Amino acid sequence: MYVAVKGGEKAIDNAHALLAEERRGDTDVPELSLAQIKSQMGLAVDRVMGEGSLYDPDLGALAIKQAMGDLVEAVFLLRAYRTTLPRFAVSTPVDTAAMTIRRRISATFKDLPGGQVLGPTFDYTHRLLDFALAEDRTEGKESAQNTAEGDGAAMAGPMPRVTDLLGREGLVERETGSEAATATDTPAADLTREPLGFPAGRDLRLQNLARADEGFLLALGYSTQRGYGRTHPFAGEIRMGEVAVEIVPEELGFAIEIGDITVTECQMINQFAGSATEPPQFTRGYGLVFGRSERKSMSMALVDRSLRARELGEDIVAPAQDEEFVLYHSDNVEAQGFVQHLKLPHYVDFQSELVLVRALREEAEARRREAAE
Amino acid sequence: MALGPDFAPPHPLEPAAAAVCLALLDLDTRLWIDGGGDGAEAYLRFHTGAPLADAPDEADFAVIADGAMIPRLDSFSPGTDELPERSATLIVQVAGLESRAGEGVWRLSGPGIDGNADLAVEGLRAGMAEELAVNFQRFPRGVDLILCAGARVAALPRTTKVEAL
Amino acid sequence: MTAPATAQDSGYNFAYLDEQTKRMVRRAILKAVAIPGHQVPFGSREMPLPYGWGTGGIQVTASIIGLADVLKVIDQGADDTTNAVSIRRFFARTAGIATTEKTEDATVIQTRHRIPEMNLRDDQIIVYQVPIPEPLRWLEARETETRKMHGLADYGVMHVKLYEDIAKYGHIETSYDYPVLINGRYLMSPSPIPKFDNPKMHEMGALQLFGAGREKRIYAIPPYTRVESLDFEDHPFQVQTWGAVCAICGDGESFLDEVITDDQGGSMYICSDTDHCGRRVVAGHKGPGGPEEST
Repeated sequence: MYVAVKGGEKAIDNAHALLAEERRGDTDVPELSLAQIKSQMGLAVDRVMGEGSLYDPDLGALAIKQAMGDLVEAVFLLRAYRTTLPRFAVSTPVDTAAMTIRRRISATFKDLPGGQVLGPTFDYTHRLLDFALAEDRTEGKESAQNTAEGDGAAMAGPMPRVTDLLGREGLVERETGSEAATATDTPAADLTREPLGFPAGRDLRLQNLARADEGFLLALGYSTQRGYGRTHPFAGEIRMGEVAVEIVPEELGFAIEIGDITVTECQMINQFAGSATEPPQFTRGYGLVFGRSERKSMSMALVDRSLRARELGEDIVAPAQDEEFVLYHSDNVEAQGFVQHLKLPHYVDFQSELVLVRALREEAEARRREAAE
Repeated sequence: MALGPDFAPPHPLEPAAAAVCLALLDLDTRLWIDGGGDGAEAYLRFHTGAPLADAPDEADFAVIADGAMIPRLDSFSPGTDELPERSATLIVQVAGLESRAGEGVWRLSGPGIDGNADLAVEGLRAGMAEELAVNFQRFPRGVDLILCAGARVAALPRTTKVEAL
Repeated sequence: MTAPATAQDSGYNFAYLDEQTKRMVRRAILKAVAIPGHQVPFGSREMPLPYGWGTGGIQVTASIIGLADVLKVIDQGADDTTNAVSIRRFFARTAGIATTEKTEDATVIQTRHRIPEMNLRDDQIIVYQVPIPEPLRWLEARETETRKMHGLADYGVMHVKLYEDIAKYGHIETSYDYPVLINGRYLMSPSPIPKFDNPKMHEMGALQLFGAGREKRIYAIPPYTRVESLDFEDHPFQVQTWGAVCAICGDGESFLDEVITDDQGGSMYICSDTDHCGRRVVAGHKGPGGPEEST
């Protein structure tokens, strides 16, 4: 006979205890430190900070540790923490032209002022498992420092952006006014304060994309390359490095620097034939994300450009051009929650369907019998 | 409304209206104040941080210190058919509020009211029942009123039908 | 099964949300009450529980609850399902308020997928967790379009859909989340409650609040408000019936859950509302196969 399932509280406590045990794993293996995660799993930390919408490498590392390396879960932890934080100020727009460059490449010009800086990249590695890494090593610090001298060292000094260079000739559209949201007259929208509305301004779209799931953006960006809303993209420039974050305290009236953050910026240059009012010029798509997240920033730039279809008078025929589709489904914290909520009991709904299906079957059976008689 | 005995907002604000303001207003709400004088304005600005609206139709909330002087209801934003929530909420101080039957009282009906309810409102500008009827008619657009007197509150959302007896 | 108020976790604000967020949610609730059945967008916050697991309901509850409140949380009608337990604990921890499993003792009831069997009073508030607040979503995926339809009260597509069901199956094929018309104007999703519960919404004494966290919408039905389930004259709205009674308390009037008892097709029915069932057992009612026989 059925005994109603009681003791949900105990089951939950036990599940938490089991999870803690799993998280720690084999106790003969030393526990991971946050410093280790931060310095040796830095790209994971960067992704979690970007999608978690909170720049804090220590908390990013903590979230990854707590989430057992499940990065979407880590993003969720960071978001839930972020929402409790007070808002002290809105920063001025960061100036990526003044970035302390660690990597800077352009696919559109062989050379350009400041040069190409390869920096730390997987790009030309042969993807051969390096079994030397499998060994426990206690190497010193000298190797990284020395090799960095050549190509990857941080470049100080101004390094103009490719789009600025093209802009001087009028060959690429200017980002102006509310489109660029560079001016401080209209505050940039914030979807964590006001719900998304449509049509969404570009500021809101870019915020959404910067927080979006990397895999989702990657697939959408890829789809545009395969013809689902083609935009003829060129990677005008990708740059990664440190930028200063500044705020203007009301009592001071001028900007003060509150710290540096690492960001990756991608400026895609896309074709555009021009119009009755505009001479032929290139258009652009923009990507900017926390940390070293090149794949994400490039995907973001592709999707940003696709989402400008309506503004540029292009037919909306592909998923990546569909603002509601993209912006409503890009957030992995929302998506993972709703997909996984199917684990919750639905027996009331299911019972309702059972009652209906049984009734329908009985009627069908009755009709069949009637017809047979 | 249960308010602490020490809660004493400055004239002309009375406890109920002030408490409603403190519960609802902040940096994100545009406020329009009518007849409040400097005292009410300074108090609400300081305690809520609400930015002031230049005109009634730009306000999310309006505080009307004296119900006898209330502007016409159609001077406030009623929202749109698609976004009827973008409409003003009026916090209106009146001389008296009482649940009782009798001549001159308002008979209220609509969502939130079991059948109907009689409300005696003292000190509201003449013609308000007619304006409220117009407000009722334009649903889903419309403004919502929170009448306050002393420590009493009566809310008249746009769905409430008002009949003057 | 009432747990008294306890000390609140001091690391967070009362009921987790900061006061500014609560004011924002309360403003949305007030407009929702003023425009019954209309979905009011709100700046839904990221909560420490997953989207889809009650974040909208939790934000609504957190914004209305006070120290003197007594909270009941149910999922599928039951107080002891894991997610209900988890949400109740969340509030016990962050607000230190009293909780209860007794419907009549609760001042605020947060629910997923059911309305308690007992009539709710006008000193109570019921908060529904809502996954998809838009009743027209399955017929029109675009928010920009459905908003226009609500603006114009243009609900023809829903009537067509229901009529096509009748033409195809002889019945309206919707058994839960059955659309309702609020105060004669707004088409509204009642959340995925079984249509069995729809009649309880009509002229209910309690204020009904609906929170959709992921979709960032709040809507409401004030007390004593007209709630009609859509139907046709020749196909009037009907609720589910079971040719069975609860195995534990013998009730044949409440919503029953089917429980599979073996792999030979055996099953039994029990009340979905565990508090209702327990109350009947205490009052001496007995079903054909309650827990007594099993022990």
